[in-house]
Amino acid sequence: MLFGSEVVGIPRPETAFFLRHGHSEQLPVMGGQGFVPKRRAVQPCPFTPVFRDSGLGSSPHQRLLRLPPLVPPPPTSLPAQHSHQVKHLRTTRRFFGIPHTLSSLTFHVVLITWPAFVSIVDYFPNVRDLKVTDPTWEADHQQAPPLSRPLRGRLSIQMYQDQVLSAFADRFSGLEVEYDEILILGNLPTLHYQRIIDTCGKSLKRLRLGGCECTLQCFKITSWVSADTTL
Amino acid sequence: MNVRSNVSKSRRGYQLIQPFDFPAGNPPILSHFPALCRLEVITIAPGATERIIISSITSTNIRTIAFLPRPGGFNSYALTTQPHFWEPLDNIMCGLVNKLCALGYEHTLELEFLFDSAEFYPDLDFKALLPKFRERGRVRILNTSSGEVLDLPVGFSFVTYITS
Repeated sequence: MLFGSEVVGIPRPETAFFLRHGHSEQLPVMGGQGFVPKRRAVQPCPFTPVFRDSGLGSSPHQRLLRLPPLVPPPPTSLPAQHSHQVKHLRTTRRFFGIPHTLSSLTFHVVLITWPAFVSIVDYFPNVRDLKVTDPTWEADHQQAPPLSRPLRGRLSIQMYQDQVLSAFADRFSGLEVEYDEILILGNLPTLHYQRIIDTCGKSLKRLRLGGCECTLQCFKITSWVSADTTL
Repeated sequence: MNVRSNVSKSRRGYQLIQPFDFPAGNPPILSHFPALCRLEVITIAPGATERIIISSITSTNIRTIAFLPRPGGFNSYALTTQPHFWEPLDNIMCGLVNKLCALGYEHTLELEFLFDSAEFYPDLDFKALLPKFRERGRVRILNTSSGEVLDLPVGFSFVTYITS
């Protein structure tokens, strides 16, 4: 086991049982339910295996496993709950059985330390699709464990706060990665974009950038034609 | 009122909304990625930021540069209007092809516009779209929902319509 003392885990034994026997290929680690789009809403049952519904390119054999929220986004008004969640996060170690079958891993609105993040990603050697959406990086002065191999495949980053993206870029640049595809979505193109993609260097083959402008400011209406005007 | 008249009015309304060329922030520079073969940019409309990104490419493996409009962004109708807005992109793409050819580029650079069905108008006239770039490059307009493709080949003014 590569896990140290800080590992995001699965709070329910039955879910861990499913992971041992489900041979899931995709594992989204979700945080707050309020940030999940409606069509991807977390079901009330502990786990709900469903087929991927993204359409093009998806195989009916790919199984998208939905888990209950592991760690909610940082509660700004509930410090007691916050500390409880962090404590729970540090004592749960239940990723068993699927390290070699998992190909897609998503961190969706999670509160996590950087060493824990690196440990989880490194635990799954065949993950080719890593998505990180609006994380909150918990302060941790420990050094991240070294990766057992360079990270490869596709990296999708969706971060809209500059400080979150900055923290990610600071730490990500210290990893050994060989991603050939990167997707970055954010508010504005900043220097952090450059630092992230620079980390990949010569291996980068496909780059997708998004969120370069603000929607409301991008157009100016010079005149308008009423709806009754005929062409 | 039939559907056709609704579409026409919406197009007429869109024509009068002119994209504002945003000043560039800190766009990434792609001058040191020799293996880069595809660049996709999700944007409202190509502006100064996108032009800086594109002009920084030095990879001779680049095959495709794609624009994916964000919701509320430009559609395929906007490609046939506002030539003053598309002219800078045309110049940048033309300059990119010239620069890459000087570095030994042997492929045909493709510029793709990916729209969904609501933004895809196949019956428009795209002959005047990016004329400088199309002397040496190819423009493809894709309907990502249905797989339809409008192919504007190199050096020709006609449009090939491909359905999946």
